[in-house]
Amino acid sequence: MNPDHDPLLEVTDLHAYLGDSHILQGVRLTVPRHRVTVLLGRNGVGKTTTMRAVLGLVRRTGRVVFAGDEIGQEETHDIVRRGIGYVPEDRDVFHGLTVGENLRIAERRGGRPRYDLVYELFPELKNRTKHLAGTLSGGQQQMLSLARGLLNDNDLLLIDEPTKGLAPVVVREVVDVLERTAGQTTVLMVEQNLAVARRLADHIAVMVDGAIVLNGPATRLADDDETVRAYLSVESAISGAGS
Amino acid sequence: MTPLVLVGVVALLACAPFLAVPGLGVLPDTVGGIGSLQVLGTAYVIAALAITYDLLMGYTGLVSFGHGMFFALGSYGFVMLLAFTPVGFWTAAASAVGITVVAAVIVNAVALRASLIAYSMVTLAAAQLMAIAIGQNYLGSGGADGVTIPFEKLPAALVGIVNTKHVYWLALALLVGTFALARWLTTTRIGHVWRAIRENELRAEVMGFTVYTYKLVVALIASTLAGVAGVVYAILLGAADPGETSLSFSIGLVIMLILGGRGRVWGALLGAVVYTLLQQRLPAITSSAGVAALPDVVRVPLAQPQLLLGVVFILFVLFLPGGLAGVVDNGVRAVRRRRSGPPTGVAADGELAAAVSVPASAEPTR
Amino acid sequence: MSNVILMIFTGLSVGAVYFLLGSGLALIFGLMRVLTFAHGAYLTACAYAGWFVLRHSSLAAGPSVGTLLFALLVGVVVGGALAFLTERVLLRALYQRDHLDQLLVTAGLGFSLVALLNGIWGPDSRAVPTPPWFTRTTTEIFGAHIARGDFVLIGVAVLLLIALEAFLKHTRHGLVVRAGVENREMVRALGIDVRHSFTLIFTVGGAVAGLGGVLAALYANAVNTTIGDTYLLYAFIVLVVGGLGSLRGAAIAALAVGLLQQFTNFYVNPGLGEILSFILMGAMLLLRPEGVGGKKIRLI
Repeated sequence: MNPDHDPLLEVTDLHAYLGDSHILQGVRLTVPRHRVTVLLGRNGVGKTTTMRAVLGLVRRTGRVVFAGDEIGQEETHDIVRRGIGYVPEDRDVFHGLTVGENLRIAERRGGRPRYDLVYELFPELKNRTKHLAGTLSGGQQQMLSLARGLLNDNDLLLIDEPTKGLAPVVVREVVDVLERTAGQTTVLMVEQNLAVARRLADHIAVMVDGAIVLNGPATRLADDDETVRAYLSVESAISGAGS
Repeated sequence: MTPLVLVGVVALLACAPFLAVPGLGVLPDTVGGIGSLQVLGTAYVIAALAITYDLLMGYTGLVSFGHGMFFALGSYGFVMLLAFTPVGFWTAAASAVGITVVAAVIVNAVALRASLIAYSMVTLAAAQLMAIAIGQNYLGSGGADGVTIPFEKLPAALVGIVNTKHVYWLALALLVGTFALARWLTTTRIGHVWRAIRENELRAEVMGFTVYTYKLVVALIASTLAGVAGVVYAILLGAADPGETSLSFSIGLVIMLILGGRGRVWGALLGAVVYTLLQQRLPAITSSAGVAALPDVVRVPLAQPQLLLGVVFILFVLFLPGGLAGVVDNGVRAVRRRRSGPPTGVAADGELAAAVSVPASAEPTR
Repeated sequence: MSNVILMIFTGLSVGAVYFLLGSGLALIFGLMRVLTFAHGAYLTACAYAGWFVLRHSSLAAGPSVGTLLFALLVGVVVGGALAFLTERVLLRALYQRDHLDQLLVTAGLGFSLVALLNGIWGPDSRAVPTPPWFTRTTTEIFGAHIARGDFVLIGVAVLLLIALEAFLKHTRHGLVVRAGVENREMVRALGIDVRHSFTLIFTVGGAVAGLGGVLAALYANAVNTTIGDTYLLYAFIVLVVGGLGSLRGAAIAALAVGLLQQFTNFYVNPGLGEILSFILMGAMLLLRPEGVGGKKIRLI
């Protein structure tokens, strides 16, 4: 069966509000199974809010269908327990908890935490289980945040700007891990670094002003280069400098 | 309400001392009776105070737990100046308000530097300082007994049972003046900025308003008017009462606003009148023979106005956050809609807020 | 010298009750961002509950140790039950709303609860029978005669601090609470229903306030309907000075406020200790809003 006809996540007419600002204005997005979908767009168009709205972390209305079930009305913890991992933009590891505790709190009731996998992917974390997460470097915190998302066997990973603010060496390490996990699970990712996006994306979605204007295979990223660049002028400048 | 209706209502209230209409248990005797005038006068003063608090909490979103302090400063300043210094009536009244202003400047200039919840705590702390000082009888403030006015220093027209109507008129004048001033202020530009601050402080700041200054202005206006109300209250009571500085007095103000409807001048008025009448009259009504015969389970809650008020308050916060004013508004709107078909495009403040908050109610609540 | 020792012990005892109430408030504020006014009323209600259990004991002989422990247990249970019901029935309905509404509901509940107690037992103080060993038997330390009750209060506060820290450090619930204090949203995003922790912490706060209520009644040999308000105000000071959400900060602050109050009231002027405490709170809010224990918002 063509995975595009049975998407894992299907969002229709999603509206979200922050305070009294209307941030998402009818987002429509499909995330096909076993693929990496990269959400592109300038700063402030609502990429992060889209993820948070899917998770129910912001006030939202609209249809969100995950693995065939409507979850648009559900609460965050119920949504997450359906098998969604979240790696937020600013890592959001718990600084006052140790590395071990940061992982332990991510364990789900009845689940089988994959410590072997996580420590194999991030050997650095294994030696630091007793360290406070607040004392880790930015790259290590990102790894811990990813590890928290990978600890459970999730069907969908929402990853928000995993390479933001990281040194090039660390970016490479993170991208390697993402590439390995991409084969096993479905990923929706926000990535501003166009080089990284190109390398990982099977599908793309381009956002402008709270709505998706382009959603399709990543080949469009190459074919439609001019269009994409027009939407993403800022980011292409960054990736030009980086690659 | 048209101005004409308001003038009519005020004129009617001003005639109250001459009315021999029965008080129907809401008031202790006939409407024009001495006891009734005293109860009504108290309700007017407390209503004026509640309106000043509404400017702070309802309009600007500043939740002070020490507003009673400025009311008490007016009362205590006035009574203590009369009792312990040779100054006369007018000097004492003016100085008491002056003292309130000075205290208001100091407390608010400091407290408004803090974040919102911290503002509540700083004002709470400031009010407690005064409560403790009074409790310890500092400066002869009388501890739990308060201080009595030396009546010989009051103008003759305000002394004695025969002149209760004059004191009643004074209280009414205070309420009318405070009401008018608050109505006017809230319709001016400054009032709109206050509301903008309440809705979104950051945005108000971005729009170019110096939020701190606007907050300071509203706090000073509210505190000063509270001081004036305190002076009138002391005349009405014949004393300065330590209860005015207590935490439960300031929480009482919050309760009045929620009952009446915060952010509405006449909502505050309504809430305060209902609150005061219940508080003043409920014990008397429930001590009547009929109620005394009831079993304890029913009688005890009925005899405790605070209990009833507290429970009603909780229910209002849960189910009617717009207060009585919100209920009246909805009623009026429903009637208008039935009369004139679908609503026109004229959006009042409340409707704008309602439009914005629609998605909130669409969110799942469990 | 003996006066100094005496002041230290009474200061610590008073601070112990502040800690019993303040620690709950600190945890509740840290996790739920709710400033609760209801816990002062729980303290009062439990002081009455304790009196209700003890009142038939003779004033001269005092209650037996068994009755005393039973009274403490009743206080804990009543306080916990009241808080549990408050969280489930009143606060839950308001989590989608402004924090102010949550604060208002707790204030309204405190207001009503005290009015109810006033309605049932009236505003006059009631004598609480206390065993002679609690108030009258003293131990001599450097010439000062310290009542056993002081040791009991201080001991309970220390045990509570140890127990709460162990709970936060070594249980999964504690882990969730610590993480929630730091970043509640991320806890939800990990699939945890953080409201369970709200219920738990609010209830623990109520139970501890209840314990404090019975102890305060024993310590004062009396109950009246205003004790909760007084302790609540000092618990606010402890919360602010100690740092919102900080347990150790609350302990340090409770100590400091208790000692400050006793010493200045005794050596300088009655009432000054209270005034200085509130000035301390105002100064902390303005100069160091994170409190003494608040490295940002760490809990331990």
